[in-house]
Amino acid sequence: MTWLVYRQYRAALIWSTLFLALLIVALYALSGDARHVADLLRAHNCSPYSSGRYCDSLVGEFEAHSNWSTGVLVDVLYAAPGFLGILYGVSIVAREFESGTIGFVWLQSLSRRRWIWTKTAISSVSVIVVAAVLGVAATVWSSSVYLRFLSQSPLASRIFDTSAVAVLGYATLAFGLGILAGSTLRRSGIAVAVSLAVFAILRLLIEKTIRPVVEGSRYVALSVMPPYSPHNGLLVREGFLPLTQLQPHAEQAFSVTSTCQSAVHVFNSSVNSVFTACLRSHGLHLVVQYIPNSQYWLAQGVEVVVCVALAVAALVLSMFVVSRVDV
Amino acid sequence: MPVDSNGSASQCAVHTQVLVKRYGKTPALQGLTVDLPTGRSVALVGVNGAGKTTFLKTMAGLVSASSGSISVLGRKPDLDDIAHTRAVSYLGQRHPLYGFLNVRDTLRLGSELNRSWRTEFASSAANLFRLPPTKRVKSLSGGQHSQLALVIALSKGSPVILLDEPMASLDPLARSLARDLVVNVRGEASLVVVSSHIVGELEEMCDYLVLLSNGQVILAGTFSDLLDAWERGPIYLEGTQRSATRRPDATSSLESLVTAVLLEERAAADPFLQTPVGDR
Repeated sequence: MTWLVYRQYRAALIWSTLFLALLIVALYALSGDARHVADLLRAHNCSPYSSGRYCDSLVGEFEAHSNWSTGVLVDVLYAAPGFLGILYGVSIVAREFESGTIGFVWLQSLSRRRWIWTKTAISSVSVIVVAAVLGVAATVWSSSVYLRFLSQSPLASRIFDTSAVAVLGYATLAFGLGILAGSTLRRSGIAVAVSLAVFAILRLLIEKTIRPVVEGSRYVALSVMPPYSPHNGLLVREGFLPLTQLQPHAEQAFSVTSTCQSAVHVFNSSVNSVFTACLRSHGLHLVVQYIPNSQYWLAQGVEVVVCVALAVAALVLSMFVVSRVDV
Repeated sequence: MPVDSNGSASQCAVHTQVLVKRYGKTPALQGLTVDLPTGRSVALVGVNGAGKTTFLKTMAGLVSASSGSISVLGRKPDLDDIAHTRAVSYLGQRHPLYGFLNVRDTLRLGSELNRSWRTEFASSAANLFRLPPTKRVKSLSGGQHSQLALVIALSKGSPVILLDEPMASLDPLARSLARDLVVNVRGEASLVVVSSHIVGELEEMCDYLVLLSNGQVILAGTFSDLLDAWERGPIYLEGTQRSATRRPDATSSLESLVTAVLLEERAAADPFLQTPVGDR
């Protein structure tokens, strides 16, 4: 059975490897200039808030180099685990239904559950290996280029999703959804479309509901506008609150005083003192909501566990479906 | 001898009781009740749409019954029962095989997936049909494709063998070889069921007739018993008040019997046919 599955997935494995190779080449070829500028920015202690002609010109140059190419690459990295998992997953059952070979293999002396389990186990190795390489390539790339300047935190949404073990988790979830859609719908095209839609919804739900809880954002009062998020964590938002209040109540917006607005984003120390004095005269202080970087691996781990649990549930449901379907 | 679920010996390899199968609202089997005796080679006959393929698939465990009961070698066929799939070998009208495998690898796959695989039989049967071992399945002709599927079905080593029109796309020589192979395995299996529209061919391979009409059995018995009855007078159809009578000029053959019964069924369903041609 192992060699049969290998023969079935040999072409897919070759295409996946080619895609990975192309992506890795693109990551380094297209971001070479941006990486160079990022190194210069780092060397000159420039930040997105820095003033000074040299820094400003470097920031402009960085954005010019990184805008479209980096944006496209991040989009590709974001979408790749889903497509990878779904294409592998859907083919496990749907392709056999379409070719009719299900009518051959289900007549041999092995149970349908054993058959789907064996195929899943073997092809999941391909999915995991390809997703792992994708995750490593994306992590190395983003930590060497993207994180150096643009976000400063691996917790930033697109970077978090496309790096480390989260890639494995999302690829596994997509794989499970693909198997379930293929088993239920028995047509590859429809199964791919449906599982992509379900995958996108689940991913959004995880991002919007589970991730914020696990990350557990914190508030800190600062005397000046920070050049970076506190403790190099992920800056969620910043604003002004009454001096007695460290975090906003539910639905309470950070208030901004127009009087002191002109001082914002200016980091000259003398202006800062004017700015702080202005805020104090209005009974306000600057509060920053941020997520500490120490939450990164916890959040990654929780999302992987959630994704794998959903994928296992999808696989169990697929086994139930195939064990009751007429041929 | 098969043993039923109560542990007692059973004379029937297959037993069905008021078996019903519907595809949506379309009925395929409508209360089919029959016992297929162990050790027999059964010819399953009926007009197109009579329910032959559905009956075979139900016995094979490929489709589930809507109601009624069925047991094969004393076990209820379950869609995902490993013991049942081991016990039954089924050759459908379509022969889905992996096109990217060659003939040798396809037979190897069969041996890996079936514990009771008959390696020597498979090899000699493939040689008999002169199937090219290194040729990919997708490059085989339609007839060769059918031959390979038949070799796999017969090599599985199951006690119950179900063949749905196995000769349909074979040339005369291949038909003759296929008949010999079926006759060869008949002695080793508990039950062989062959569906075909060519009664003459079935006479050579089988010894028991089951005739289906509208998803029900209307005639069942050994060839010899049925032909004796046919010689003596009208044959009464099960579950009906009707009978089929041999015309004085008709031969006393299985084919004439089957034709007469099917004509009687058609006439009962369509009164237009009861009117003599000249009077229409």
